[in-house]
Amino acid sequence: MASSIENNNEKLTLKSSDGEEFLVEKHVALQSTLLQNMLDSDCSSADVIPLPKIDARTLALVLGYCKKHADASSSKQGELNSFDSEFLKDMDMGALFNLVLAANFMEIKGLLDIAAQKIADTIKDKPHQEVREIFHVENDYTPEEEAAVREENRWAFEGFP
Amino acid sequence: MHSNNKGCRYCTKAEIDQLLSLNINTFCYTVTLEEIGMMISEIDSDGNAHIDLNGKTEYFLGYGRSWLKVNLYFILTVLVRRASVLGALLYSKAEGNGLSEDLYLALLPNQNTLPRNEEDDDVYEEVDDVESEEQNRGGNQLLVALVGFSSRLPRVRLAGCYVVRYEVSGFNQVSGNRLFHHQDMFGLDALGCLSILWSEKTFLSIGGLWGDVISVDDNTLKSLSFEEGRLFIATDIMDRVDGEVELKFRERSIKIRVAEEIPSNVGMMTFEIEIVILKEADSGFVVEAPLDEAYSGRKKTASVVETRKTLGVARGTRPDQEAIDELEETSMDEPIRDWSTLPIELLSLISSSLFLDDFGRFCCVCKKWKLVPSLPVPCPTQCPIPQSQWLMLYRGCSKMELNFFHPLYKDTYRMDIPELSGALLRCSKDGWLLMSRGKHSVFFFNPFTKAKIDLPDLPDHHYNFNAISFSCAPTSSECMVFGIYAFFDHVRFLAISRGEEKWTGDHIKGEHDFHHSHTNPVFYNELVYCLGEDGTLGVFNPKDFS
Repeated sequence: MASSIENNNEKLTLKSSDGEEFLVEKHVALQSTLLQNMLDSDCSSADVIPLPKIDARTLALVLGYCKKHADASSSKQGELNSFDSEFLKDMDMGALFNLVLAANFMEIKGLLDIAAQKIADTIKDKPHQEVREIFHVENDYTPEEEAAVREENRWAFEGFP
Repeated sequence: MHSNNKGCRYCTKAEIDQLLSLNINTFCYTVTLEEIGMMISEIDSDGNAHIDLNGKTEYFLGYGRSWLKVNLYFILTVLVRRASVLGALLYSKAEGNGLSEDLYLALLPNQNTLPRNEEDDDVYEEVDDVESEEQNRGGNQLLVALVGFSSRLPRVRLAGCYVVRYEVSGFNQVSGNRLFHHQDMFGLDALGCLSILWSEKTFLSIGGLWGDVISVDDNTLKSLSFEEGRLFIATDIMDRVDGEVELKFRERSIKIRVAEEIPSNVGMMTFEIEIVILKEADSGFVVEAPLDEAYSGRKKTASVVETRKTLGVARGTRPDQEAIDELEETSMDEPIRDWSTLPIELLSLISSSLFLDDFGRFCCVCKKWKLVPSLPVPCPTQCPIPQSQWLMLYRGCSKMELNFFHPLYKDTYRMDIPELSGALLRCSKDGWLLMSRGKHSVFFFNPFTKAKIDLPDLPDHHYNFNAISFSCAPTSSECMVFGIYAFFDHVRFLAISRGEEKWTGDHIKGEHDFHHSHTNPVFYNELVYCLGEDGTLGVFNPKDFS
């Protein structure tokens, strides 16, 4: 961490799975625990840090989030909160899927939390059939199994057919 | 009505209200003429058709089957186009004029927003007045009417639509609930583009020829004008887009010019659609390939665009928000993700924000999701004992509902429990409620399992307890219930232990100077502690009198 403060203007190059390179200020990159650990353990000697699991589009989103949070530091929590809620608003499910995976991989806790909350909010108050459609999940229950699960969670289905 | 020789009637107020109150906004743009026909559930002997709208609302229009299809469609179309329309609808079969899909709409300006017709035969003189009034109309309400139309009538243009001043001679003669003077009525000819084609579906088809449609401009869908629309697409075509599309519907063919509106310095193409009437052509509603061969076969994938855009981001020193916003918007055609493949720890994180109803349905989505570890706070239905953290609100004997609230979650969950009708909640512990009903009935109830355990009735002469409590869950062999009440200057108490068939009791006289409060007794080390009103403490040993 100490080195990161000294070299605040240092820049890193991140490479996405599809080969795009992103030049990122170091303090922005440190929002990611993964990158922080890599830097601390001096894995950063390489010029380019490859992120083989994250495509360029998702990485751009992630870095946008990191940039905002790194620059705002702790001073303007209210502003950050509204940024967070705007950040995921209207995001389609495919992008959200990539984003939550990327946040998990890069260990960005704040982003992971808001993404998971967003997904949970999407699920809330919807019949499970609709949830399946939204998330493109195939129903792998047999009708009997599904009936059993429903019975197990009987309370959950009051008000839903 | 069928019996009306004039061939027209007005909607009644109730019908109008009904139509206006329908939430037809969403389905109208996807419905086809044929589908409208299918919604007719019955045509009665008067020629009125019964129409099932949205599967629930029945509405009927006169004039028999062939008219009705068209009429209804246009009513819906007009309503959708003008969300602000508040007013009357009326419709007519013009005398001797067969209706086809070339039905014309009439605008009935509300109040005096359009100039009165001064019996002036020269329609064209009215053009300027009409246009300026239309422009000034702003938020004024329009009344909408559907009328039959004769193509012999001259046309004027109104805000992009072709408008005909139209003598609707029949209307004045309809007795009863006449709503308008015929002078106020204008036929609106949707010749700019058939309004039936002016739908999101059409625009998506058009946009799809050049790229992936991101959105259709809201103002386009609501527009009064049928001549110009706007949609946003993502495309990898580097050249300026300028081409034509031919729309066909029945005998009509409409040529649409599609052009890029602004230079794509932000990576999104804006299209301006100009609709020009062409010629009669084949029937059928098809969007054909652009006439310009150069654009055929150029449908591109969003990912290509994304790559290009991302490069822009990468070259800068920082990802700028604008570019990110665009990226978000180009994502419509992301490959479909299978969320069941999400790592279990992520699913667990997600499910930790769900509980009760929502968590139950989460489990029901697929097997993998059901494997997600249970909640940090157990759902009371799954784990009824240690839910002491749940707060329960019971509003009393007139309501049967229980509201559950957990401090960790913002939602309140409600259970309706008919078994609790008329009962009073006296005490709760370990997930069990001790309830009383009337003067003699006391019972345990578990709201999570719905188990009910009746206690023996109280002796006849006893009044209701002021305070009552129990030692532990009634499923335990140690369970004892202890109640206390005042009887003149006596303090009386009753107790019952598990396995006993009747209550046993005793009393203390007033000379003890103990006046118990309404605080429930507390069990501790086999003794019962009752707080007195004046701060004294009464200690009872139930074994003394059992």
